[in-house]
Amino acid sequence: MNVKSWRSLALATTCLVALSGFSGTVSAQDKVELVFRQFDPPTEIDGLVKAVDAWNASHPDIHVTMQTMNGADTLAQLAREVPAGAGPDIQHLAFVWTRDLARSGLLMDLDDDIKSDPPGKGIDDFLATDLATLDGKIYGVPWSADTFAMAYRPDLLQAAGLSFPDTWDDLAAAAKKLTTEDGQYGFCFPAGSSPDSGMWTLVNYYLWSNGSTLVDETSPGKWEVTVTKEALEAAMNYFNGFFVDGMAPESLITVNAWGDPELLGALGRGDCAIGIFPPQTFRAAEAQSETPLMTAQIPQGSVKRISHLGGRALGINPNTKHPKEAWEFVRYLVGPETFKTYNQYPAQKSLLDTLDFAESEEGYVKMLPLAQTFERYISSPIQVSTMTGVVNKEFGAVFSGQRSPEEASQAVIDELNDLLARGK
Amino acid sequence: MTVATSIARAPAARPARSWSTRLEPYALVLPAMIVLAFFFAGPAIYNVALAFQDLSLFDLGKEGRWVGFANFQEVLTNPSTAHALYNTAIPLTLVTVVGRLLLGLGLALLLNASVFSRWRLGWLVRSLVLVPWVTPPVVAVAAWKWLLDARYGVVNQLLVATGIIDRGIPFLAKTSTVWGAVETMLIWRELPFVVITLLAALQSIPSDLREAAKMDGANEFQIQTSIVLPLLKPVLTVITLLTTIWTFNNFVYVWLATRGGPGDYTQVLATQMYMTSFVDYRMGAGAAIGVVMTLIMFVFALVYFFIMFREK
Repeated sequence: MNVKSWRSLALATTCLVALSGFSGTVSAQDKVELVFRQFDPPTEIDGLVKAVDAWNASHPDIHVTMQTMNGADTLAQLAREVPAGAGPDIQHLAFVWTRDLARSGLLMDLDDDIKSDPPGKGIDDFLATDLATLDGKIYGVPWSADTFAMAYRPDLLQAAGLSFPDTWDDLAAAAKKLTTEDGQYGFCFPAGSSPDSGMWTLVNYYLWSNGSTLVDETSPGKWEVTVTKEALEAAMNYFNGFFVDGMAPESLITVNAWGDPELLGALGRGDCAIGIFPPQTFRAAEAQSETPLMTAQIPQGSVKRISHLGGRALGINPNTKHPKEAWEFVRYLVGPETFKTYNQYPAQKSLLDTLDFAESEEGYVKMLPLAQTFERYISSPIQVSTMTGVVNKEFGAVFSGQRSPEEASQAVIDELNDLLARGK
Repeated sequence: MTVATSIARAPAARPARSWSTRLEPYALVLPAMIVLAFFFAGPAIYNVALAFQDLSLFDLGKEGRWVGFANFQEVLTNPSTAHALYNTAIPLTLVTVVGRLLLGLGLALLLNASVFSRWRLGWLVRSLVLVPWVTPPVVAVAAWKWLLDARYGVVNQLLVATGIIDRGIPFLAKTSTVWGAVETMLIWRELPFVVITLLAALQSIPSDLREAAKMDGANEFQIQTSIVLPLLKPVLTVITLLTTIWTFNNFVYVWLATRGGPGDYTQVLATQMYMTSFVDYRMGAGAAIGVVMTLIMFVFALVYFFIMFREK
């Protein structure tokens, strides 16, 4: 090839590149591409996929691609991506993450959008907005809300001549009666030691209902470890009793997730008579069970009956090139159209009031008004994930016989005190 | 003649090299150096710098607060680090490296038996040995967790069916069995590297040596201990060092099998580093654990390079 041919080829290539760039600009102007990342397990997102598909069908100019990521990895991934100028346009957030991300500038301030183009019936119509607020500004729109309820096999309780237990002590007594020689256990729960283990939830229900809390703001700005060694020891002894007396299978000491197959199918298989689940996991368990399942209230302690108000929020990445379109999509996701197919309870009170709950989900209906957010911990100087890790590790140490409840409860208090001191 | 010789021995005048010719070798290695700097040296230097800072995971884009050796002081005085270091050094590394060497040597000697080549089965047994190694660790651990499940696992069902135990053992939930279970998974998955390397070394030993020893009246045991093992020593040393370095830094097996539990019974330095960085969000302290691990492994790496250098 001579010099002239090379020049011609170079010119042609340049023209092609320029043209493709131009056509790219044109198509980008025509169609906005948004990425929405969510972290519910793939087995629970059929309804959400339908909602996103419906959006794409009705918005030819704004196409949304949905990404799914493991919940345990999502937060760290976001913390790596956003400072590097990347990340999804819209992010599904756990309530407890929003403030931490906002504090480091990893979420967009939504105040102006909320004022100019409010979601649903206005932001005051949403639950748990306090968890998404930092210095008076809102960084996430609460999307779904949930709490936990006890789940059980009514036929097994009936066969044992039991009605659903009302208190924690009643639960232990009922579990004993429901445990049989042929491998049926009374009560099954995730007792793993990992920081993301469901044990954390149960421990707090037990402590809160008996008038304790791990840390508290005893006077403005002054945080202290308020749980006593005795209260923690009692909680450890209570849950360890299920393993010691054979009322729960020891294999659960390694189970962290609510949706673990060991728990999910346990009621349906008849391995367990009573369990505890969030709503969407209960529905998955129901789908796997040939016999009907029911839900009931969380047992009450010496002071009250309580559960936590959990849920998800939606945030927008400050790096997004399309904030207006991203906000439009957020408004769609929190709206009634999405919840026609999305299998979660909406965080919008007016929508929640119109929801028809299945009879089997009565436990959730009763627990929602009693549920409280983790605000008491989120506002403390200790990261909630760190607190979760400490508590789960020490309960796991008791369940496996690594430490006595006395040693483990002292270890929790010492570690929380250290963390508070470091947080100051 | 003398003149002619001196002319012949005179150094030839070197042609003047242009600057572009002189730079050519550097230009050729530059891409590789850039890749190394960008993907290896850069992150390593950044990690060392992080170890001297107090920085949250959420503030990775910003500069942290410089705290000197505070992170190292905290890590090295924390009792949980001593516990994790013990777990890393003994149950995770020492036990599994020794286990792999013993089993690997035994298997390699078996596979080297002439019967396999006589029946033309060498390719088959070598392929079968490689099966665990081509299984991704995630799949291997998931399969082992299923095998060891207390109620539905094959291992427990077999033990119950044969009357050895009355009811299934939750291997990963008990402190008495959890390390054994993790070590089994690791040894099973990583054994093929040892077997294949030793098998190659065995096959490189000249058969004349064996035959000469036999003619001198040596029995099979004497041949193995006095001829084969000494000849395998350099390979065994390299395998020991490499598997030690790989295992000491390993995160996957413990994390996937137990996540450091039950309690913190199987916590190792790699999982502690992960927890500190991505659960407590303390990137500086997590990086300090990483630097401590690197320094420990640096000693092993030096020994490895010394041996390699000596062999060359």
